[in-house]
Amino acid sequence: MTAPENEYRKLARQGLWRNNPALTQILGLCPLLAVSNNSINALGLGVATVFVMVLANVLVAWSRRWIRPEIRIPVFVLLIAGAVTAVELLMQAFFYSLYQSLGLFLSLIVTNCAIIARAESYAVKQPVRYAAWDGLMMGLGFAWALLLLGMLREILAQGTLWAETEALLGRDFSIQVFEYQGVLLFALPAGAFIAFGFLLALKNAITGIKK
Amino acid sequence: MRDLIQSSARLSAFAAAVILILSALFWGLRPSIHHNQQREADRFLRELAPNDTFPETRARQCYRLGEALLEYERSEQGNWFIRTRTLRGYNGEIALLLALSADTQTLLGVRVLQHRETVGLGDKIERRKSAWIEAFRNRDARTRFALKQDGGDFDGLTGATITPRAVVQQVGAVFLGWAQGEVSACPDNKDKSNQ
Repeated sequence: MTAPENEYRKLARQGLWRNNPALTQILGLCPLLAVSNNSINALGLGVATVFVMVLANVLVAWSRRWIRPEIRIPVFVLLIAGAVTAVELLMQAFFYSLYQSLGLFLSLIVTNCAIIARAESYAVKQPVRYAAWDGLMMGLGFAWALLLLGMLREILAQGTLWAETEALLGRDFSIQVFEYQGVLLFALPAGAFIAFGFLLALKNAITGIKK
Repeated sequence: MRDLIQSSARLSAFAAAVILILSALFWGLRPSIHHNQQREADRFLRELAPNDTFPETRARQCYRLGEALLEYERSEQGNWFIRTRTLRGYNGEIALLLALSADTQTLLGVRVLQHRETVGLGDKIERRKSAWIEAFRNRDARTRFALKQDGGDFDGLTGATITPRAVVQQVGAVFLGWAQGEVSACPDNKDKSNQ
């Protein structure tokens, strides 16, 4: 059992880079590819995913004593779906604009396998504080990969960055990076896969160089 | 056997707990959510009729059009603001807000209050996502309320047919019904204030 600070640092390294849910574990592709068509959507959903991951991990860790092995999967699904619903309701009540921008994407978070993967492999065996931190780190790891992909696809498909931020952030932060027609491919699912593939290759190259 | 019973009991307990907590959250947050929806509806009212003012107490009244009961309110200038919904959306119910001139002969505009349509495709009926809904600005009874591909006057949306068709159809039915005076009082004349 590692000392507490080491555990936190280890989880941070794992979640943000070494075992990144999107780029290393390659989980959660459904929401990842669906919402990464522009930067603001990616940011919104990234933030929501972090909240859900922390909440779900906390719930699983907190009730781990009562989760018998044979019912663990249904219980995980129940807690995660409950967490997403709770986040949706809270957003509708306190962050209405964000809720409207994300729309049905918020419900998509339930399909993010990274969440149930963390519940199964970590949260159900750990005290709440470690599980919460792990949720935060994995969530942030997913979020930054999502954001990167979102910005990349937006630049390639539309030539802008941070277009349409009024609804979420109150004012227009858009930047016209290129004045050009835009490559439609990257606004579509096929382009999402291609762009994601390149990000994976880039990450592997960097990891390879480090060795 | 005892294991089976214990597992089932535990799982049921989890389910019950989650249902209870979510229900509590839902009921507790309902006023806030309702308030947000109302604030947005008011914003739409200002977009549709920028120069209109409303009385201190907002009373919504009810009219009957065919089978449907529609809520409406009137501004101090006499314009009508009608709420209706269609169930023919791609993914269910679409709630609409129509603005009619005081003489009911002109459709001032439409806004979508709530929907569950596909993000990126059907959700373009929202004003914040595209200007498609502005096609309803300043229309009169001579307008053919159907998509161009169905022989009418309205453009569709790329990648979505069912959604715009449902909206156009519903707007047409309500506007034309209202303009032609086909409305009548609701069964027990429901008056809702400040809801």
